[in-house]
Amino acid sequence: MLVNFIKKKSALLLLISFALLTLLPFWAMVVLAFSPFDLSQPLSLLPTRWSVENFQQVHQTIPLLVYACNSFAIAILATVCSLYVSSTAGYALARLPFKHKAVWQGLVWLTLMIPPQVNIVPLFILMKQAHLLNTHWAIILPACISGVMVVLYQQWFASQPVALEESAQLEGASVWQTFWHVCFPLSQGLTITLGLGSFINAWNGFLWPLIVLQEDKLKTLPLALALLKESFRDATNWPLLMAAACVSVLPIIVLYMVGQKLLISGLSQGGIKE
Amino acid sequence: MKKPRLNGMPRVASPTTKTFPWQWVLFAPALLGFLGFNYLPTVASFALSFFHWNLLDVPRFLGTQNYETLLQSTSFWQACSSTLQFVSLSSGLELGLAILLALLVHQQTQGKAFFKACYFLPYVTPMVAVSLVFGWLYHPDGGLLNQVLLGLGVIQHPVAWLANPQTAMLAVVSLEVWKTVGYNFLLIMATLESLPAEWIEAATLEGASVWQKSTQILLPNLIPTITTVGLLTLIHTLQAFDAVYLLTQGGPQNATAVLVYWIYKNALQFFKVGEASAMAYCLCVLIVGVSLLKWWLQRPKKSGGSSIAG
Repeated sequence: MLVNFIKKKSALLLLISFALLTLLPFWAMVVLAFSPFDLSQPLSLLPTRWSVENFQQVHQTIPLLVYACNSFAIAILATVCSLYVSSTAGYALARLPFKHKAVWQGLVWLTLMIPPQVNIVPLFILMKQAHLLNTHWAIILPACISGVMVVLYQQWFASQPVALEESAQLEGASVWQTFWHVCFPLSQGLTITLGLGSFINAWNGFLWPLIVLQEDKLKTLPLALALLKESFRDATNWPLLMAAACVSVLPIIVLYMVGQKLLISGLSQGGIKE
Repeated sequence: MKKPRLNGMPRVASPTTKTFPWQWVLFAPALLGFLGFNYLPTVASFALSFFHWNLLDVPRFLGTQNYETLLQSTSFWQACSSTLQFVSLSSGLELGLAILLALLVHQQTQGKAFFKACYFLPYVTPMVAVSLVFGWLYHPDGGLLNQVLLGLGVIQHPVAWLANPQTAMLAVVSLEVWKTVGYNFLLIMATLESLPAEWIEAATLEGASVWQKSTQILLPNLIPTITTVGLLTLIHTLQAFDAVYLLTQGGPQNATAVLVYWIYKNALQFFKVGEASAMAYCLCVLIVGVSLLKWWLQRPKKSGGSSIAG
């Protein structure tokens, strides 16, 4: 009986065990965050005592709220700006006449090939010259520019029928009005998907913020987490760290729960082009 | 001038654009951004690779000396070999697991949405938070892996997984694979779902096993996607940094110091800007090469007109 059942359901069992493996670190994060800090016994994934002390303690150890606000400000500004910049550029390339359009298009496509790491040092120098080091703009401005987003917007706008735009134009709407009142609202689905993606990207960013933000009160949550870990010398206070980690993951999990369907379907359609 | 459309309707936007260059107003922010944050730095990086500079003094022209130093330095070759190990292990696993999971999930009748949401979740979570958990899993004092292995009697003493060059590499790879496999999985799922469902239904009626359906019907149709996803994974893993920085700091004995980590260290900790730029350029050439290959491979498929990416 059992052997037969396992044989029949082996694929499902494999998938479920892989799902458990995928979720294990999340479980560990949450459980440890609620475990009391006690060096005498190893931390367990099935704790006997739950406590919220760690969250209070992490709040007292580091200005977590300040870091969270920094992360939020950066992520929201980066998202809004990148959506504006990419949708306008995508629309222009899809619909408006350009001399040598192929050149401009190629310019956008080519950026997809250049690895961002090659630009890090000159970009750092550029930010230094512009006196933008140790400001959030050093993170927000480069995050506004995304070749992938321009390409996806362009393809989306190009795939739409022109009839609506033509009638708007006949009624005397300017190009801006046509874009802003007719085309952009129609692209809602794509906009939400790309917006989610760029918020998550900005929220999770590590290498670039690490380079341009040295001042403590400007740091983002990921930087603060890495710093907190390095501050432990002998025994790491894992529960405290995990409490801080939970705080940094929570907004992403909430966003993921809300927008998971859009994110997944959007990625399935557009992701292969990246 | 261009011909007017049906019934003399104007081409979208052409009347107003004669008087006002809307296309440039709309395109300018992106164009300036691409020039300032992409092209200028890329060109500057190339130029810097021929100079000696510590970010403070006046840069000194060296010619190709940075590249020569690089080719002669053991640390560069070590970084290359670490990168090769990291890239081959993680992209192999990321691709292989993603194919396996996608084939199996596609043939399930229930739970597809759950598996998709679940496997993709790590991809969107912040690497820093996740790396802390993995840091605990691999920790010698009471880390989960040691707890489990000691409990099962596989090992007698706690092992410092991140202090041994071989296991440290595997630890970093496991973090990278755990985080990225869901992304590849979704890309492959998208292709599978675009295939006609009748194929699988017919094969099931004829009593074909999951293995037969996978290898004889699904896999042959997946080859183009697998190639694309494989090259994407290659590009992605060549750029790995966060996992290494957070889990092992490139150690032990530089065993996990991949190229990007070395670029970061040389540029911003040792202030060897020229050498770091030369390194960055080597990486850039490699990645552009892979991108070109991917672009070239995708071309015939596009002209064929059948593409899920439309």
